[in-house]
Amino acid sequence: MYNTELSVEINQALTAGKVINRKMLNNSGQFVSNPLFEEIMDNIPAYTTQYEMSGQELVSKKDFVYLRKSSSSVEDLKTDITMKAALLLLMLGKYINEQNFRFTKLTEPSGGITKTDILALQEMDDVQELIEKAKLKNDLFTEIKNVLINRYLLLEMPGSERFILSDAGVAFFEEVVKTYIEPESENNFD
Amino acid sequence: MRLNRDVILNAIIKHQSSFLKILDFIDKQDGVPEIPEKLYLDFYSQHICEDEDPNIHAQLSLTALLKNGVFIHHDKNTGSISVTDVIINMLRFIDVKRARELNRHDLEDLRQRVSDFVDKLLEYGNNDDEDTNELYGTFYRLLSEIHSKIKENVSALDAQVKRVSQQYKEFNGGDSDTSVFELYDRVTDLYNKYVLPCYEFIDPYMEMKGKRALTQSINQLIEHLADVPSRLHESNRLQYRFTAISSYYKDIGALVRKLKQYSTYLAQDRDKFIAIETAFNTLMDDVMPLRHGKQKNKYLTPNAPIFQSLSTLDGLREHKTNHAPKLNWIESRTALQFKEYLNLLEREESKPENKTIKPLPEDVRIEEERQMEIARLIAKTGLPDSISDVHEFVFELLNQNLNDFWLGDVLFGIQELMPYAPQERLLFSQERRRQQDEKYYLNYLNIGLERGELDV
Repeated sequence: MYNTELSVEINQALTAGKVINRKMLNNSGQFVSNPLFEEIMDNIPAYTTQYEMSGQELVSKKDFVYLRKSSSSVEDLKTDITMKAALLLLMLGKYINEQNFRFTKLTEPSGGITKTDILALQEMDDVQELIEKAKLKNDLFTEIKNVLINRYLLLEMPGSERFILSDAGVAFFEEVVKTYIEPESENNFD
Repeated sequence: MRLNRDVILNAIIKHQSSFLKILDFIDKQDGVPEIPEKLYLDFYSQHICEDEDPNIHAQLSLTALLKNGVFIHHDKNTGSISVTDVIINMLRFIDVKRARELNRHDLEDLRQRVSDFVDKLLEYGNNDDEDTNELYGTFYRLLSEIHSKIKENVSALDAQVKRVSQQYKEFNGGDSDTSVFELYDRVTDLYNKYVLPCYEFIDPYMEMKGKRALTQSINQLIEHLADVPSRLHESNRLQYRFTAISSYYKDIGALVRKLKQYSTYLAQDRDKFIAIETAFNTLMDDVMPLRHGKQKNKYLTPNAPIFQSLSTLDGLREHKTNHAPKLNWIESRTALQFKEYLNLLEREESKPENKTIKPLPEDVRIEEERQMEIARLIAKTGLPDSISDVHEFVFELLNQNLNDFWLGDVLFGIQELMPYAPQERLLFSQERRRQQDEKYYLNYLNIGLERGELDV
């Protein structure tokens, strides 16, 4: 049976365009399970129907959940926000590569992207051009805050202004690897 | 001037940091034991000459080393010096980090030599002559050589793995200039060129196509000797010697596992690096056609190929969006849509029609036949002891007994009832009440009947 208190919270988050991740950060900056995600998973048929009945789709992935308009065409799903989120995440990935950081800087609570990193990212030539071509705000941090942080694609480490990828952010890069990895670059140890 | 070898060795050990550079150069040249004359003269003048010992020049000058066999050849045409193996091995022994790992060819050479010896011993090993004893002696020296080489190799590989561990640690901490590709290649090289061949060389379960692995050769000889009573002690001795060699299998196994672990992590990082680079380049390729300098179509849109290829965040909605699309059915018909249709029908059927009812007309006409039917019913029923609401009483009575009952019947019913009710028992109040049927309503002041004797 669903929990009305949590379902109200879930509805508020989802209708505000936020993603609900399997894991969240607690006050000590450690990953813990997210009760909202658990509530949805325990009552997935009810929540799916709830939004389906109002012409929306509860997108339930392995590690995160979000809401989108029901649509019959792929083009309709390519929203401006989808574009901006993908663009900003790819920029962060490129920055990690350029700085010769391990990818775990983006995923481990001991790592994290800082505001200084984002300022340095903004100085990259390609990023400058992308900001112009995608009509992003000139202050890249504000854009990242609006699109990634406020939607929980990036999570803020409590009290440190460092940001790491949420489950949804990690899933995005998993798809990038799956889509863009060259087949010959397999691990040749086995 | 000829010198005693221990004097030269002591001098070399004293200046080992300079001589180890010779080793580094040789290793860079894939192990060819030759160095340029200039290399030696440089560190001779820069380091060795700084030594306060006045005898050092007599011991370590180029001429002295050539004369005493440390350098075995000096080609003045090419300016190269050949270094003797003994010194190279000694330097490797001094610094385990510079020990040369055994490669696949070194190990294959050892395996082949063991295999050849075993063939000879299987053929002549039962003889009890001096030649056979010498053959056994040489074979055991070969096993000693293998033992010492494997032991050295394990130490060298361990040092190499530790070096890689340190580099990995630095890379992990973001303090390294080494890229993930360089580190991955180092780990892979170390594993494939040196660790794996050695691991396979002493693997007790190793089988080779068309050849005998080291274990197979030695076991074959052990079993053969065990069948000959006079050679049983040789069989046992061989078993002990081989166990000592194969005991390094566990140590190398630990190195294999460690390298595999690094490789797995590095491979994941490398994959991510490549994928992100490729995706970002694809993104920039999508931007390229927009650099046309015109005013129209110059911005990136969500329909660009890079965004088509990624679907994880498809349909992510606008922040603070309104709730407009409440019933935005997708085009295809679904079971849910049908269910909702049934729900709608049910709601429509069960909901009573909300009709407006009117006040009862002043002029109510009741047909004669109907009047008689009502009169008979009132007469037959009679008055109860008391009635709290006469209108209600008549309404209920007629509604239950007449077909096509309507509110007008009540007025006639009251008219028929009143003669039966004694005036003194009637109670007229100011309380407003209401009766209604499906079409009309009637507001009235309540009339009650007190308890008493009825004279019907």
